[in-house]
Amino acid sequence: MQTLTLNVNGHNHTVSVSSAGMPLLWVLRDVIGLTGTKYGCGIEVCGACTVLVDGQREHSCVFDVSSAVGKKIMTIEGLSADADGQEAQQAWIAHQVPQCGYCQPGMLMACVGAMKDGHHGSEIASEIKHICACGTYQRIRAAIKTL
Amino acid sequence: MNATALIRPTRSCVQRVGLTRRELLVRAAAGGGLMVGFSLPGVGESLAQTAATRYRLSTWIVIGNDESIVLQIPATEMGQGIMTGLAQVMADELRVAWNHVKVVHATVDAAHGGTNAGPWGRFTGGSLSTRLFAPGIRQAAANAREMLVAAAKSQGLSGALTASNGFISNGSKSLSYGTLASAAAKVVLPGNAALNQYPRSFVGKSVARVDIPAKVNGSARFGIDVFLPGMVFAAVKHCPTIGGTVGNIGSKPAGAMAMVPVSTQPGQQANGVAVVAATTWDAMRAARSLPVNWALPIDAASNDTAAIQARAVWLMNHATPVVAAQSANVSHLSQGLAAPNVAIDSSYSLPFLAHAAMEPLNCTVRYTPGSPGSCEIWAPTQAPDAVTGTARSLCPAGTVIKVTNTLVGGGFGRKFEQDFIHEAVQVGLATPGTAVKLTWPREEDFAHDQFRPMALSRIRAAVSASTGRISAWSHRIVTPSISAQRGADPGALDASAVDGAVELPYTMSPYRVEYIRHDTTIPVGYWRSVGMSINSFAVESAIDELAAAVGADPIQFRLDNLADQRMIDVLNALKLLSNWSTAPLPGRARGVAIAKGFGSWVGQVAEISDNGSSGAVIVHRVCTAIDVGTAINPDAIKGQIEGAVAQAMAATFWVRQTFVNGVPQVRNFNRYRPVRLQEMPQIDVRILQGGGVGGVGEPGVPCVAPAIANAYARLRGEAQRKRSLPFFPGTTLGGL
Repeated sequence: MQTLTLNVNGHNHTVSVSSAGMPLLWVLRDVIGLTGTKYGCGIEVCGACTVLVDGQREHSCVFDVSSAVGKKIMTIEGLSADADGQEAQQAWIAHQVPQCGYCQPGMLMACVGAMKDGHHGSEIASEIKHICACGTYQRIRAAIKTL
Repeated sequence: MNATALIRPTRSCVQRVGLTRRELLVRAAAGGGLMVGFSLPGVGESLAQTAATRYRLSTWIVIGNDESIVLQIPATEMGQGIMTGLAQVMADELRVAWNHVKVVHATVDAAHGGTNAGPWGRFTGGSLSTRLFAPGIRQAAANAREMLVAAAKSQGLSGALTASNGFISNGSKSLSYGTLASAAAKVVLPGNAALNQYPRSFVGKSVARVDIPAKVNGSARFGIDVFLPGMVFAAVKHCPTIGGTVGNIGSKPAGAMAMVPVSTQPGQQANGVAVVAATTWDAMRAARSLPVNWALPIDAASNDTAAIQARAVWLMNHATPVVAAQSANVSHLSQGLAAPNVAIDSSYSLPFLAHAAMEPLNCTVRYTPGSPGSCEIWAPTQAPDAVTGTARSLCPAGTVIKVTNTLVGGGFGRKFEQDFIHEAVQVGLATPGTAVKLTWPREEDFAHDQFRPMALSRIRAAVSASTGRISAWSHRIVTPSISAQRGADPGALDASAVDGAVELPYTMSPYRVEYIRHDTTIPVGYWRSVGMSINSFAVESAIDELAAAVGADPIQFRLDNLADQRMIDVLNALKLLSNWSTAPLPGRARGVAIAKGFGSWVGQVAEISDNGSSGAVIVHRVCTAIDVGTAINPDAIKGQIEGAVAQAMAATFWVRQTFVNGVPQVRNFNRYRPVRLQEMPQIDVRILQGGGVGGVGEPGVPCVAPAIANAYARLRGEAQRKRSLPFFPGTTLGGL
């Protein structure tokens, strides 16, 4: 077992994991109990597990937890305390985006990550290749247009 | 288990309004307040009659002394907005302040009908939730309102009383529902309260969905998010070959706490091994490295896509069909097909499909031994009462079973099934006293789905060149039977297999629709719009081929062959919405399709163009006109149509499950290519309200593939028409 300290949404969590190579996704979900970040495919195709690590969009399903040590991790649970995050959340609500909602944490994190990279509107939309099985894309596009 | 009866409710069940005394129950709420509950008969009358108690409580409206209004609904929220829609129906009759309303899934226990489940009991599917539950909720809410009025009278409020915004008022003085609730619980109403006493404030409006705020801040809890103190995690590994079972299991891999052989159905041999570990990832890793000797089924080689397709062709040509429907003058069929009428003879094929919901299958179980012991289950399920039954079949007699149905991260019919529940309960029993969450790795979710059946259809039909009327229609369908695979009489007609091929809105005559059961051991199940996802493709493609054969405009040809006024109204609305009478931009083509099902009438027009040399197609716009009877929340209806179009577009162009020697080949999204944001067409929806209440979740699916196929035939010419789905098999999805 290895003991690591992670900074998630501004809080430090000291965790024990079986391997330094354990994906960040499962440390967040099964060790810390922050279940907002979702498991979708495990092969960085669907985007549901997207988080920000030092502001960069990362697929937490393949991101070694040891690589996140000493960095600032932001998950969907941290969005309400972030100015860009609040803006994106409001746009998502205004356009009634989510259906089942399972992919939306990843969609929102990708959107906020793109906002933090200085992108706006359709620039953000062109970067999001996540999968939404409910097909909420038209609303995501409309919501992003306002950002 | 046979869910057919439940998916196809009796007419009386859907149309009935008003509640008998036996169905409406009133009690004092725990902690003070009023609870008004109602039950509906088991969805299929036949099922209800076999149950020990005919009626089961499933819905409660709870008015608290603290002014809270909690609506406990029997349907599962899967993103369709059922929490909001049913609350709107309640709010209009109860006359409450919207911000006091909270909606939850009704508990699955004795007080809420969870103890007397039939094989499926409470379930969410068939685009039925509004149709089944809205009338009862409306009546229960009206009755609750009149009980509050009576309570206000008994507390000295005199004169003409009105209910509004959570208060009963006589114009000068008001009493809040919270203060009246306990007294109202003692009121005995002489009968059902009158409906429509007040103008509607909520029904018909695009009220913001109550489930959305939690879905943008990470607080929404799906089944996979259940997190309990001290819990452990499990992942399953199934035999890669369909029908294979566990032979010998190797020694416990590093990191594994336990290994549990699991079966997906009662009475079956184990076909998988669940590995329990400290985290889901440790469990998945250990499961991957676990050596298992599988006992392979003798029929593995027959479960091969090429062999299955060849068998479908053989059955089409040689098997004796069951007649699903025919006209009285069917003996004139060959005459109708003969010259001078212009005939077509076309075959259409469709593949097995996975459900591919974003939330993989999962279920959490905490079994606590004792006398009696208890079994607590948390699951993203479309059929919570069936979960109770599954647990009862596995737990020691007398075990107290409690099921919590969580939010569902995409169901599409997959989360009716009990395979993942059955496995999770077995794992829970093997880890007594400890909560365990079983998750299917995505690869298992794809490979061991209960697939939308493949199908082969042949339509021979003809049209009179002089009248433009369909002169003969003969449709033969070869497809596996979902219900026969679950124990229904294999000789009987599987109604869901011919759904969308019978009771067509057209006036075609003579006609005959035939069905041939294609037996397979590949598990088949209910996929959004079920039989219509198959048959509407064949029917609406053939209708277009007939139109093309006589050079008719596809919409005018349909109008000329329709007598169903609601379908005609939909088609005329669609014609306007899609600018049908104006030619599309150069390089573009439009196609149309219509369907009637799930209590609604729908038509769609797809506008497409070539995507350069790649052979692919761009869908620019999909217009939908839909008569849903009564639109409770128009924006939620639009959302369902948007989603249905995206899902059906992927099924039109790219996705399928294939098998080689019994081994499913698609195991993740990299080979099951959904529509992505950049490919999503503009979706426009026109909602018609022809009366009654129709379904919304599924009707958006069936017309998409034929509308696109019909547009494609116009774009490339009839000779290039696509009669096999998907258009472009083998297209993969790269990384991000």
